[in-house]
Amino acid sequence: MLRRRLPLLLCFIAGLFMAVQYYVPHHSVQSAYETLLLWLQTLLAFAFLLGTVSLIRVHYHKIRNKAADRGFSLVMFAGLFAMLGLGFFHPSHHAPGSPFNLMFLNVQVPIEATMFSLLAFYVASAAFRAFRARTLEATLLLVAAAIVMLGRVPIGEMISSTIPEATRWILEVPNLAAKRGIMIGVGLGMMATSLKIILGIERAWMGGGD
Amino acid sequence: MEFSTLIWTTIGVILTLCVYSFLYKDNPFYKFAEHLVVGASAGYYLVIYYYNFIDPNVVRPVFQLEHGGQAIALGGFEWWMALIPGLLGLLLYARFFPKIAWVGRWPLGIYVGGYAGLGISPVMQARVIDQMRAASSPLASIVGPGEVVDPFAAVTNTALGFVIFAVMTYFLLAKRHLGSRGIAAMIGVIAASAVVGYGGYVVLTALSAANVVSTTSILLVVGLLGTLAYFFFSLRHTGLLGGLARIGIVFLMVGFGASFGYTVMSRISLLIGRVGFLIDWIGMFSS
Repeated sequence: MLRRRLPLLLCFIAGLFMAVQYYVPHHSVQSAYETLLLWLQTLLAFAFLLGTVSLIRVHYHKIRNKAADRGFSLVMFAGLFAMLGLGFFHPSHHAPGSPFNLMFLNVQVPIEATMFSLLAFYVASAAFRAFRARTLEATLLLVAAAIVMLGRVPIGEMISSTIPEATRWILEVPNLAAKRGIMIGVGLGMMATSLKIILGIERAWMGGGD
Repeated sequence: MEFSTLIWTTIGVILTLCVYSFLYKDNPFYKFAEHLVVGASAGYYLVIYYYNFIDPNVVRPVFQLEHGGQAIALGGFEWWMALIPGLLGLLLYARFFPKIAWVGRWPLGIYVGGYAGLGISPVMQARVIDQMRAASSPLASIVGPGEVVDPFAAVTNTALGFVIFAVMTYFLLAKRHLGSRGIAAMIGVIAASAVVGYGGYVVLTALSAANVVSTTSILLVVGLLGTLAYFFFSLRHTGLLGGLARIGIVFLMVGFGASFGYTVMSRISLLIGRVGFLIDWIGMFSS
């Protein structure tokens, strides 16, 4: 009962209430909704902390077991504890120009932006190897990608004013139609999955065991 | 320029170069930056989540008896409403103790169920109803004289004229083999197709100009129906459904191509930004 049924019951009650509260504009229901929403946000924060604890455990075991790349685990700990120290022990951690903020702007932001920009090289390289106009579909994909890429840089406009216009058309007509179809399908799928979770049909979140 | 600015920017430059070193191959510099960002990100978001959620919703009400800037009573309703999510949050950590790991399912049930329920209505509204409403634009334009309702009419009609030409050429050459009788026959087929395609373009343009029909709206509806037909697997893709699904593939491929091109350009834009950052750093020494 407590191990499997109670979690399913709690899931059902929380899910049903959150789904129905949109249609009951009574102040008591709205107040309960706001309270439950705060609970969910708090649980999200605790879940994030759980993830960090797992991260610490993984790297702690690497160091303890003297793994070959344990030096990098120390780097991870240095980044983590530097951020935590600056965030929790610096009196004005949230102020612009604080060490916490500066570390975010000069360590986290450059690395993340550079990692995403690296993808430009890999996407271009993958496209060069994979893009072959062997079939009608592949040709359409290739032509649409080429027009959109050209249409979004000044050289496209310099070649012909038709290219930016064609880019806009591709993005707002055939692309929109396809995306709209995908979005409707995804939306219906999300709703079906949500209902399956609330009704206890989908139970993967409970994990294995008793 | 302040010395601290130079130091912080130099750190950013070194880390940027560490990440770019991966273009050569996986190496210790890249791994250093990679592990550093994992730790820093985890620390950053932990601090943010703590101050945004745990501190105001649990720590301050329960231990400092203060919620939203107002004093609350120990053991009162608001105090309990703050204590419960804190206790539920702590139960998540039961997974580290195998004998009582199942207790962690209670907060997880509330969390998963709550967000599943919370999402149903907005998802239905934004992803289904709004999209269907947007797709239900009038196929025939009802406007006053001189008003332009279909800004894409010219491109759409050109594209449709080209499609008529391409389909007719393909049908006559590949299916009817009319071009196999010689080069003159082939040129004749292509010329005839071009005339029909151009004729189609002229007719569609006239209809658009007279606001009789919005070809772009029709194309959007056909594309949407085709895409939905392609993803409908309850029936075999034959006959009308098969034809619609085939049209859907065409729209999907153009859509994927457009998304690909868009993504590549956004990554290139980021790359330009990073290179600009490096150039600005070099410029710091000359200023």
